Amino acid sequence: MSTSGIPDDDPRPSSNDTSITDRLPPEILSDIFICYVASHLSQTESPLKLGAICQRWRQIAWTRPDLWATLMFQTSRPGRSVRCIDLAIEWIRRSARLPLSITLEISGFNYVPNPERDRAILDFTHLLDVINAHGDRWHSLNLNLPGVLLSNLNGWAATGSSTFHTLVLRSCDEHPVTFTNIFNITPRVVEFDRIPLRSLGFNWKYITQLKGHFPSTDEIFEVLRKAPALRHCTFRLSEGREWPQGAAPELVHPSIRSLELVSWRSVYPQERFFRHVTLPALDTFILTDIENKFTFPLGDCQRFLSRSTTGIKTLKVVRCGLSPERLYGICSVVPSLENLVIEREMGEQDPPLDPFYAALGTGSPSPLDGYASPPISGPILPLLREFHWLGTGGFPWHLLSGLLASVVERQIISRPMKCIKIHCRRQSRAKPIPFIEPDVLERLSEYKKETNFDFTVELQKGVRDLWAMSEKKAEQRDKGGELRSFLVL
Amino acid sequence: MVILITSDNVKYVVEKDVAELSVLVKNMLEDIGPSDEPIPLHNVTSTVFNKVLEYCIYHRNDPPPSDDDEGCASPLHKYLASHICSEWDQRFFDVDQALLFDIILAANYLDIKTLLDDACKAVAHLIQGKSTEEIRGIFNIVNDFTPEEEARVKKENVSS
Repeated sequence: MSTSGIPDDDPRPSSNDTSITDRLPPEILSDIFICYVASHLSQTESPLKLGAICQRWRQIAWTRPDLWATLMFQTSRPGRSVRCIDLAIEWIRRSARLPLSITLEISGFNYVPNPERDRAILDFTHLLDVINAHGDRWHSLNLNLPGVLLSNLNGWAATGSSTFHTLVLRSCDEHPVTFTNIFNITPRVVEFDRIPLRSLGFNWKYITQLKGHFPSTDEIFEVLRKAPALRHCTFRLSEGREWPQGAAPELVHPSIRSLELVSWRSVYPQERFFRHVTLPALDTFILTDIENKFTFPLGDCQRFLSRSTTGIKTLKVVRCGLSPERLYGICSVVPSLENLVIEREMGEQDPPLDPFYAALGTGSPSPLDGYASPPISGPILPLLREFHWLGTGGFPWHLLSGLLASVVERQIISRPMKCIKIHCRRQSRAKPIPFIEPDVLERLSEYKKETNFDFTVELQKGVRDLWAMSEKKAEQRDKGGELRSFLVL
Repeated sequence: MVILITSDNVKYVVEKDVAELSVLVKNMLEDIGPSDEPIPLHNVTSTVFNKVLEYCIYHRNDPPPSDDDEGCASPLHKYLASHICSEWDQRFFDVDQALLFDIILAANYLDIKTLLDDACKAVAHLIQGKSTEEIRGIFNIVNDFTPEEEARVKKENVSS
């Protein structure tokens, strides 16, 4: 029996003599199959479809292991997936000895009545057993499963090889997750959600990227201690779970270059982290979903950023309700900053950042009431090269030129701005298009040789060039004005 | 300059760096050494070679495909990312199927890897998002499964 399930010595003549694909040798046709699968990794575009075309295609598809080295299994109807499990097991078998990339996402167990539920759990446990048996070939493992299933992950066959790259573990319910044997797993990139840190007993030594959801800063401190090779981290904090727990140790992590803090909504953990952690190699700092407009511990954050000896090059502020004063305060301690990214969420009720942009142009925090940091000499953000803004509504266009140059003690000091990218979303079709005023266009035109202006707006037809639209609008207005003048005459 | 002669006896005088994008031609040039002898391309007609030449001239200064990566992508994604088709490439491959397959065979014969990869992607693009029946229709493929095999194939695809 052949691997295609069709006898190798099948005497039937091929009836595909007229097909243009018959001109291609099998190795080229299988290269085409690889492109087909790689460019559209999903179950509907799977190699199974290639094997459904004709005998020749099936034979070729079934004997090319790299077509089967990536498995994506996603279902929200686990009770009806028994046949799929058999296929998935066959799929993995066809991949020969190649490194495996496996995505397993199963939800909807709560809607499966017993005894089907128990049966489905047994079937998926069997699939996980097969995946576990190939632990020495894991390249990427992405498991989003109920806790009861996820706990079956077992690294007994993992050899700590360098093939393993990415491990994503998410529990989709509240069932406790405990792994019994994963210490052989040596991932480089790790992401986890709803899994207690104490359960993650894999080898942390080689992890360079980490994205995790933590209940407290104590766990974050523990991660910083156990993962010496970390370079990029995203720490999401559970809301409202942390209360003062005594003194924290001073921590220095020498290799972290980028740090994202997500959903740190109360002052205490922010203070605790900023006061006790030092990241000398930090060059990218991202704040996401930070809502405490007026209580954000600016001073602690400033001191934390100042302890980076590399100097912060990139600052991203994503869906944060930081007041303009606090944003200015952060920017005032990062003179090495080259990239500033601000994202504002749809329907956000946060204070407008206009005073911040105005202060960038005037070179002084004077427009910012309540700003308490010591004055700085020279313009703020003198090395800024790129500014990206993404948000709902319009940008305060009249303040944009302040990003390009700052007026300090009656002197105009330009920033080496290479790119300003502004992308405007619209809350609804009823909202007006945020056109750029003609005088702003004229002023910015002077900088067009040195600076790339990429202004776009989302319309129903897709993303459009806002600069071109604004120019056209201005032209139409001029023509209308001329026509009106003519009529008056 | 290098002189190349196609299977229908059309002579081409091609700059050496362009001709050497073909590993076949490059090896032949190394074998025969400095010479004005024309190199025969037995398996390529002038119609097809015109297209091959157009591709090679446009891509003559491309950097060689790099294997450099941090191991972040899956093996399949790495393969795909190794050479991304540009708009020019998309227009270039917008030809009838017979010519597209001739280009593939010529790229395979001449051993021009990037052309072969890009042409394979162009064919893959033809079948993306298509049903089994549509794919058979595009390439004039006859369903040669027995009823039992057909039942098995259907079951696999319904399950997936």
